[in-house]
Amino acid sequence: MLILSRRMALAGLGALVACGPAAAADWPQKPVTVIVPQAAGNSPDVLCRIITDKLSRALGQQFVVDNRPGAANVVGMQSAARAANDGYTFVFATSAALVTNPYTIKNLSYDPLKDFVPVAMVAKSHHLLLVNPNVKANSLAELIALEKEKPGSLSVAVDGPRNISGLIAQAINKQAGTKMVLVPYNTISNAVQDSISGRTPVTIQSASVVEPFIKDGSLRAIAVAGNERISTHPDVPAIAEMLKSVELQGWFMVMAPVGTPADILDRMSKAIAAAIAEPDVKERAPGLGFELAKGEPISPSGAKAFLDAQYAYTGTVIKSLGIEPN
Amino acid sequence: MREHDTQPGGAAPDSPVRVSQNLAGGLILVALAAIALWLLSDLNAGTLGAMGSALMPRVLAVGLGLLGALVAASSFFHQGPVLEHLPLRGPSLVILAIVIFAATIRPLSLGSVSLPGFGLIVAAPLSIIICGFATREARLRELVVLALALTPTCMVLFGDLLNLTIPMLPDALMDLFPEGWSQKAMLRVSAATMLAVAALLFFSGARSATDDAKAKD
Amino acid sequence: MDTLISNLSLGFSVALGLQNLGLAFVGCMVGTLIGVLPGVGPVATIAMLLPVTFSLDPVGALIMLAGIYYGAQYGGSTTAILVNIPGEATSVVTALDGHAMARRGRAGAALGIAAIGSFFAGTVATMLIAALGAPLTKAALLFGPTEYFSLMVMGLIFAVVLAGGSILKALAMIMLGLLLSTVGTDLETGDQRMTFGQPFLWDGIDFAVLAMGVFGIAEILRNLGQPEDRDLVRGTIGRLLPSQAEMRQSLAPILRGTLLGSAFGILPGNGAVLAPFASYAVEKKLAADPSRFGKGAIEAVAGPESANNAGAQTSFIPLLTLGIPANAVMALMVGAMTIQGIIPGPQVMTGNPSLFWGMIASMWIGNLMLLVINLPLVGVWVKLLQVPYRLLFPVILLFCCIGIYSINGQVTDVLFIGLFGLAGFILIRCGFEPAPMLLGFVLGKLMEENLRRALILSRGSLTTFVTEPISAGLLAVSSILLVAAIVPNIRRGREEAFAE
Repeated sequence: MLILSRRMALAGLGALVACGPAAAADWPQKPVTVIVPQAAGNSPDVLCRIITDKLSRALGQQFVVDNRPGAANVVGMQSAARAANDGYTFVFATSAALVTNPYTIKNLSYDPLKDFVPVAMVAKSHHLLLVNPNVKANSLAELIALEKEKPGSLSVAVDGPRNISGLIAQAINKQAGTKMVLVPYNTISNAVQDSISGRTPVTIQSASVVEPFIKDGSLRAIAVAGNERISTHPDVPAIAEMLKSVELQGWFMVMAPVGTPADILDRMSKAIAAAIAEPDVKERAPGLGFELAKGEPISPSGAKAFLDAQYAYTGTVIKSLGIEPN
Repeated sequence: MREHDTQPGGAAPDSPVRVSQNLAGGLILVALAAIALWLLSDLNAGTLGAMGSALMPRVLAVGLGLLGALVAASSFFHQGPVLEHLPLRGPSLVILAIVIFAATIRPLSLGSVSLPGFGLIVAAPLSIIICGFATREARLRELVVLALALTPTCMVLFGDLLNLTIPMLPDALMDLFPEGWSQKAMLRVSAATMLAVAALLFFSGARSATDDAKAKD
Repeated sequence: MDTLISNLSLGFSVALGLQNLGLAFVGCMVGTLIGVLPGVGPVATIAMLLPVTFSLDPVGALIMLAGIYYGAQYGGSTTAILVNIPGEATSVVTALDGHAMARRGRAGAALGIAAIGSFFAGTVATMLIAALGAPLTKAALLFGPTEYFSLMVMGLIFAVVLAGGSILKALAMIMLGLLLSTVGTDLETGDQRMTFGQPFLWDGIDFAVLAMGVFGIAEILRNLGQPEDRDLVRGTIGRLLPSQAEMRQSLAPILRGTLLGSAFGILPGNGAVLAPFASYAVEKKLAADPSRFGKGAIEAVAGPESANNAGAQTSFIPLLTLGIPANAVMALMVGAMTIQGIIPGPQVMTGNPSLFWGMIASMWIGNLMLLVINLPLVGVWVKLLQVPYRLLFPVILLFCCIGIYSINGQVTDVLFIGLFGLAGFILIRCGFEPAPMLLGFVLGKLMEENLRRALILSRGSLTTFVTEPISAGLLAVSSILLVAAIVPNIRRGREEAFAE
């Protein structure tokens, strides 16, 4: 706390020195708010705080994290959509808020493509398909074969049928013709516990959460959700190697209210690129389960291209699963 | 909390209608259950293997309704404590203070009405003074001093020390400060000013009170 | 035994370092402060402080965060006793008799016994973690959805016992609490239930909002209507700390509470919530004169407070040994650990012993510090009660508004404490008690989730609750408890009828 207030005093001092007329070149002139549509302490929040900490130092103004959790990101996204587009409000948006909600929530109160402009892609998070070690399957193919012997016998622990790991499970069921039963958990720890004890022999979890359980052998990773293998588990094949187009992923993108001056977006995206290139951020991200963005997607135009592609792709997957917005 | 313990059978002699607590309470619960059932009417209960969203709440609402009916019915078998008439002044001013706090702390737009956010520096004194009048013993001067002393304390405690993101100052006030001041500095200066005014009021008040006392002697 | 001693001495050598002692102290102070402020909770504060911990070494960071956690537990009891506002589910029970004691002028004794009981429980729980942490972990894995559902059923029975007045009314309040817990988006279907289409209700009602309304605000409204009652507090203060007789009375409840709390705390599914309720129910059953409960019985503060703190402590066991966080604060600790490059789980104990044992030793040091911080504060808090009520209640109200706003930054939360306050006031006027409703509310969410999962896993068969041995055992105990709770009540009712 002492450290915190000292830093603030320094930031204040810096601001006193740097006065001048308000123009995009002088941005930021006052503290910048970054809305996180998730509760304080969730993994997107932690990542956001690591990055805003760097931004505060680099740009000489306090970047304040404003947690607006609730209603599957809707509360935070809605308040960000209504915020002034003067370059002093940004939102740390999740893939759920940007590309899943439009297809699962009726009368969504914000439009991800029209109310916001992308600033920078920040990170992806990876999901793994894991089994309890007693399950006699060492690969996705063997798991599917096992399930087909007795359809409906395997239970899979997920975060809910309309959330990312639930969607992945349903996509596998649909493409492989299996009938795994989805068991919804809203706390990750309970899901992991039930998979370790074998009640739900299969689970789909964010890679960071299950890392220790893979290490001590209480869970076995058999596939990576997405179309490519990941650096931390190079020998675990991607689902897409067997089932085409199960490429659902979680990711995070900084967005601004539409109409925010382009040069501010540019400066912000460059600052974010610099922040995520710092060695201690790079070092911490894998532990939190994030793969930091590289290259083109960190720019506003690259982020836009990525968002548009994901928006369309997720839509086709969700519609093909027969999920209706409600 | 336990009305019937502190006031055994405490019938208010001046209340026009004598309704027992159980009858009123039971009927309230039945009404709540009915509202819940109505709100749940278009949801699906599903099956045991795949519980629908309405299964659990519907069972609970029916249970609540039955229990409420039993409580209400019990009032016919033995006359329990009688419901006293509700005081109006206290509850209405306390609720008003809460509403005022909610309406002024941050920008508000309700249909055609929209208010700028005033921040804690306005919301806190308003709600202290309004809510203070919920009791008949309220004294305006005392409440003003309390408001002027407590508000800056809260501003520093929550905004500066705990670093919580609560709006503190209205934009209009922040514009009065010279260019380039940090928010924390503005907060501290405003807080110090308020405290000074509070101290001034308090001591002048104390002196005038002693003056009054002397005058009486 | 030898290894235990050498491990503990390693731990103390780490925890007694100057920097770590300082961090533990800062953590305990900040924790006490946020615990005392209604609404502001440890989850939000720890999240805010996470970036600060980047610059610390891992042991120091965790020691400070843990200090905040149990500091907040201590502080929360203070608010529950003084102004009847339970900040968390676990201090609801403390509010019952603790605040009743305060109204009788025994606030000092209530605060004192809470601090002493918590310290004792903390000491025992720390030793338990050190000695039995690893083997106890296996027990946690025995609990799945079926077992948790039955455990929650048992919790509901505690709620019946909790009630001071009519059992029928208590049942009605539990039902209302359960019903309120189902408000919000359904996890499985995505349907919005009883939300009136309002996004702020999609996630359901927040516990802090409900508790602050039906306890804190309703208490203010009640006091405003009864001037004679609240002046009682100012009339007699009595001695500050518990008397010898009171200490003797509290001894057995503290022991039993510690035991119950330690057992419930080990369960990773937030089982610690039940510990204070269980302790209250046990003490009331064992008491020579159960009618004192609810009117300021010191056992009803000593037992549940010890249970609460023991549970808070042992809930570190699943985190440290399995890597499974038991509640939201523990989940944040996982975040803090991973940021520091430590992956929580069984390997921490072997791979990083100075961290593991340093943390355990600091738990005990933290508890000692809290006792040292809190006992002198008792005098200050009691003095606070002497402030005229006409000045005190606007302060309480303001802190409630700011505290609740600070959690989610939602204006609707502020409005809802008013709404629930009014509703609670009316229910109290009709002779209902809010405590069983709050317990029903807390258990409701866990109950529905686990019922649904248990039924999916059993593919729709209800018999799973009696064929699984642990679940069957829990249900059997519940039915015995229920009979034990209802029979005397019926008998009493009959006697009253005869007397008339």
